[in-house]
Amino acid sequence: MPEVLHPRDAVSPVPLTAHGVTLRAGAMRESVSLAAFRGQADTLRAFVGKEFDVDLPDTPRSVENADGITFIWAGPNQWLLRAAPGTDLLTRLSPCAAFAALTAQGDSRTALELRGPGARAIAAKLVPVDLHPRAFAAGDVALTLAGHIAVILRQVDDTPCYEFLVFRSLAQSLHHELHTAMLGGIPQADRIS
Amino acid sequence: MRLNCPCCGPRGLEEFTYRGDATVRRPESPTAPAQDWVDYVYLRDNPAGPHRELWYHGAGCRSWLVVTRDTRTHAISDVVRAVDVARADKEGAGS
Amino acid sequence: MKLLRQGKSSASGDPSQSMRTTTGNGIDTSRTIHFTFDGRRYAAHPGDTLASALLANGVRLAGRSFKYHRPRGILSAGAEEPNALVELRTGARREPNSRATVTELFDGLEAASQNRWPSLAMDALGINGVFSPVFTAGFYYKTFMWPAAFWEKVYEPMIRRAAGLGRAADEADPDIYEKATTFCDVLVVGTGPAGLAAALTAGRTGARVLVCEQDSLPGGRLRAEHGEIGGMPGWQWAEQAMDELRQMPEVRIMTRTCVFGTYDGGTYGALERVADHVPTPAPDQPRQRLWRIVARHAIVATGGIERPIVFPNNDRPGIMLAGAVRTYINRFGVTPGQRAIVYTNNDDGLRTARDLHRAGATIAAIVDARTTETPLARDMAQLTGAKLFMGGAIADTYGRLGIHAAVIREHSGLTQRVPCDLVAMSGGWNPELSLTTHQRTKPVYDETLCAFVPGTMPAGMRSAGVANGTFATPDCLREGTTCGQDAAQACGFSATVADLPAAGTESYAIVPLWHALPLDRPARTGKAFIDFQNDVTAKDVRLAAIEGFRSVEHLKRYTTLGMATDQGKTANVNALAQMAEQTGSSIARTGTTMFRPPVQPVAIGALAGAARGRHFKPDRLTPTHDWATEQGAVFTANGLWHRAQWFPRPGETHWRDTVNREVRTVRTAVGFCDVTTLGKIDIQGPDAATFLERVYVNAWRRLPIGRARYGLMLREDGFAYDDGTTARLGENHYVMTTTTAHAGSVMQHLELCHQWLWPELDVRFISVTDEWAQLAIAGPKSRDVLRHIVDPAFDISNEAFGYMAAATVTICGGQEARLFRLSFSGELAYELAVPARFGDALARLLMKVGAPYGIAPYGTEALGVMRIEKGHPAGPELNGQTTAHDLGMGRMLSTRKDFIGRAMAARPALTDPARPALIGLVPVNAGDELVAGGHLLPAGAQATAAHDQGWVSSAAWSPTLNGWIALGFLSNGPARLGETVMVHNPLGNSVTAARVVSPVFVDPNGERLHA
Repeated sequence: MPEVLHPRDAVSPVPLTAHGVTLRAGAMRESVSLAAFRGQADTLRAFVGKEFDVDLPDTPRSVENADGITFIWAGPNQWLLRAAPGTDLLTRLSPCAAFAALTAQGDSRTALELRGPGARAIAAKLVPVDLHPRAFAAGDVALTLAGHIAVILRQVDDTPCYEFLVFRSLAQSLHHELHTAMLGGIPQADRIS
Repeated sequence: MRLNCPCCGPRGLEEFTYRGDATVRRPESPTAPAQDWVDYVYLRDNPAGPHRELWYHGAGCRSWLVVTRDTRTHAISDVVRAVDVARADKEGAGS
Repeated sequence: MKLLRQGKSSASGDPSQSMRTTTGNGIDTSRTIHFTFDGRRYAAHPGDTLASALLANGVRLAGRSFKYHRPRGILSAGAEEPNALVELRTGARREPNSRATVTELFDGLEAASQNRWPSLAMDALGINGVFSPVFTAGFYYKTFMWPAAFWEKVYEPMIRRAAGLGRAADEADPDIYEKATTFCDVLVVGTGPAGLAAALTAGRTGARVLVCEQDSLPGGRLRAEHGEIGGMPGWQWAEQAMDELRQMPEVRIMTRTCVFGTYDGGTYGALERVADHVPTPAPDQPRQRLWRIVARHAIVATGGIERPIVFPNNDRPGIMLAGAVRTYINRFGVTPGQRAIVYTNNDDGLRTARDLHRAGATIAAIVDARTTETPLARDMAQLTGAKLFMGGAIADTYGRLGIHAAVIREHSGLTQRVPCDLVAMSGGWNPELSLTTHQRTKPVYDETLCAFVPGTMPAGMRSAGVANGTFATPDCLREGTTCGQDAAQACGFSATVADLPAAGTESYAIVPLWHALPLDRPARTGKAFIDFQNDVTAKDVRLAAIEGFRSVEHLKRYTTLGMATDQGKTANVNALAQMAEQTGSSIARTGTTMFRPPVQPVAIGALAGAARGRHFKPDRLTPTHDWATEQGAVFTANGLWHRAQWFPRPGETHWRDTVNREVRTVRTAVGFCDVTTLGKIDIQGPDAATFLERVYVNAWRRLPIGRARYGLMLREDGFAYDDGTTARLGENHYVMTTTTAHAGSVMQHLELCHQWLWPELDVRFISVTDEWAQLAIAGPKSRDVLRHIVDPAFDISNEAFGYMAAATVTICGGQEARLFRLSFSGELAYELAVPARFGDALARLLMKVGAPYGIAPYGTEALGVMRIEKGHPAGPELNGQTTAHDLGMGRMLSTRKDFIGRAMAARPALTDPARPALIGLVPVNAGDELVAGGHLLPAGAQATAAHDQGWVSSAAWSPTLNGWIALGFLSNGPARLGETVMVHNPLGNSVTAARVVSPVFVDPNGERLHA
């Protein structure tokens, strides 16, 4: 009888709330990096369009298809796909292997979600990019820093809710920094009416 | 200072790593004259004025960039992806 | 007429506020709060500053000066204050050098004067004033020149005690700070008439506007003056404008926020004092918040700073800036004196007479440096009944702890002594233009205004109002409106400008006045202060000029003018004007010193933000971190990573006991260690092998699928850079490992090689360091343990899965994993990688299934001992100064391909056999300790640099060999095996004889590896 390996969360799944903003670890997702080989981006785009019925974004954005698979721009000709467990992304993507590098990333990154009316003001304590709705809307993505930690930041919806995809080994630190930022409150200039 | 990454948009200095002179190019062959290698590895101009430099957007899209910066004012007049510059140079040299 | 005396508070602490003679627009007189100053209790009202509250209570003496310990009072009512620096709060929250003029009072505030002993009124070091010839310009350089030893032991401690400012707290700061970034289209700095007009105009366009006001209340000088805007008092108009701004959805307002610096690319620094105005911040509330503001356009509407007039003994308590006197009257309802002399060179100063008169004070005299009477001067004299001295000057003052008389010199030259308890002086206004100059654009001198005004502006910046040299209120409103409109338009927002509110205009009519007395007059004898904070006088400037320090930058360094907390805000222009006078040059040609951020002091704590103490930098935790913590592991930092250093067990009294046991466990049974921290880079693409050939010194094309190989990288200069193993997982698929330390930099290096050097190569890479939990399982029993974990479908026998094999396998009934047969310890060993979420479970499983084999976890220390025993180079050997030849890897350098570092590595100096090369060392006398860092000398040689032949890079106690061993680099080393050399350790002052041996101490033939 083989031994069973039990997965362990990178951070506590218990949500934390302060000043109307909630921080929680996102559920474990399947994730695959897709990087087109030289001159193969169009081929890859065509495949993904056919297989998943979605246009791979060319700018820092994310799109979601009808199956709930998220396609996140992750650099020039590179995307991070995230899907519910059991989607078996690698198998569905295997025909791409001829024209793109496929790399499992499901354990590389932990998702931390910051949600609430004050989430933008709290995120601004760590993230040095403009998150104003005129500059950054639902679906938009930024590869940037949260404090000293590199993240893939994505606005999930207009609550607003932000998803920080952080390297697993740094998830506890980012969780701590986000929580500290939450406890520090909403700055006067950002009072939420 | 802020650099307008062609992929990510304007970002603060903290996301970038400076490397230096983007005008020196690696000799094509390991057997090129020793002086060419010494020039490439060690010798740098230090112009007062516009300078083309390599920067790395390490905290962002991981693109190497060729940034034209005025060393007197930090005014940034141009930012392009290094890979585009390198490819154009190689194609130019090959034709 | 009763003149003021110090300290009206009675011993019982009865709050009198005797000088609170009128109502102020910025205080709430319905409530009374209390504070202490030097232990005495006083009353005040919410809205007071510490300065206004002290003045309200008749306290004029606020501190002692820096060099001469002269009694000083409150000069200003703003951030420019050079004199009234105090310590606030007590214990860990004690903060020195706080400006009383911008310290918002709260109930229970404890403040103390500084730089005095034993007490403020009776200061022993006031004697410095008597010895003042010693303390003239450049006194540091002249007086304390020699003997050198005296500097540390005598002079410096003496100066520190005598001339120091306040005392920092002895304990760690208990408060928290945070940082944030914000963006806007238009940043408006200041909420005087110009700033508010700009903000309203820009805000109405729908542009994103950020308004920063350093004060707690809006209005700027409108709070200090009587003028009306739009038919209401100016301060009311300001509050109304602020209310309107608050209603605009895209306008954001930060009060108590000082924009302190302009940086490249439209970036600004600002400090928000979140909780400085309350006794202690709320739980978790930051005390201050550092903002980085990124603005497409900025409007600097920061107003102006009034200049003192330079006259003998112009520093006594009770001599104040005229504008500050009006602030205390109109905003705080405090009349700072009952019998005042107004001394001015402009119309603005004259209005102080009116405000003092309305507040009930007597105007003893109006001294106007201008020789031609202006209508306003005549009106003011008539209104107040004061004697008017046109063309007059104050030639001297009296009063030890506060002024009680001034000597007025009439235009004719006659002098008379006039009793007074207040001198309100105005030397004219300097635009506060610091923010416009931080990008090295220089201000220009305006002869009409007798002041510097902004010159060429940085891109995306405008200035408006007094900051721009525009003084009359209607002009400020107009200019602010225009700036707001232009800035919004530049951001793509069109503005329809509303009608400007009506406002009365004010005359100014300034004449230059840089010293009260003519240049040639011998009466210029008393100390006429220019820089109050640094005790720099007119004579010091003159001396500097005579000694040749004529550049303003030299003047600053020589006299200390313009240094310290106020950065010469009230001093600089007077000083350079005097320098111009001394050198016969113009002020425009003399120029100003460079302004640098910050405009006002910023606490280091605010700059650090939340990144302090344990959270100074982020922590990277391995997948087995929690498990290792449960095991009682001791952790060590390895870059950002926390790695288990060793796992102590009960009964082990010294860490070396633990490490020795861990090493013996691996050498005789089996151990495991988390090596997730090694950088792992997934490399794919048709040109992946070519790419590896370019970045590694050795060949890669023929590496079969399912095999791994050791690789060495050089820098382009030919020195060793990084090493690790790379395994081939598929036709075009490799996984590279790097050292923990260089994981990030190797990634950057690979990107450079790919994007810049060889963009034609078709290859992609991505970090998988965090994807896989990778555990090294090492020891003769490691295969036995693995058989319990790896699914039986995979044959891991030595024959099927030999040394340097690599494969994707499944474990525990189908879980995908990667298995590598790699060894850093020299034993039969594997590295097993599982998705990171299972790392913790894998460690627990290894403990369980390995128990019958005597398994134990080991940490980085045992890892280090074993790699030294095996002669594997690590960080101390790959130190950036060693070559492949030095490391004994010269033969790895391929000559059939180009690779990074190849050409430069071939330089004769880098391949010279006389270079120190890797060797092993053992002590000649068993039991002698070898120490890393020791120098290698030939036997019998003197310990001099000329005899230095190398160094010890790594040393360890080897439990396997039962003795000390070391790795080192020795000149001609590999040819000297068997020779005895001396290890000289200058730190421990020891010399140890050591024998040169092969660097591979354990299993030199690699039999265990291949077992």
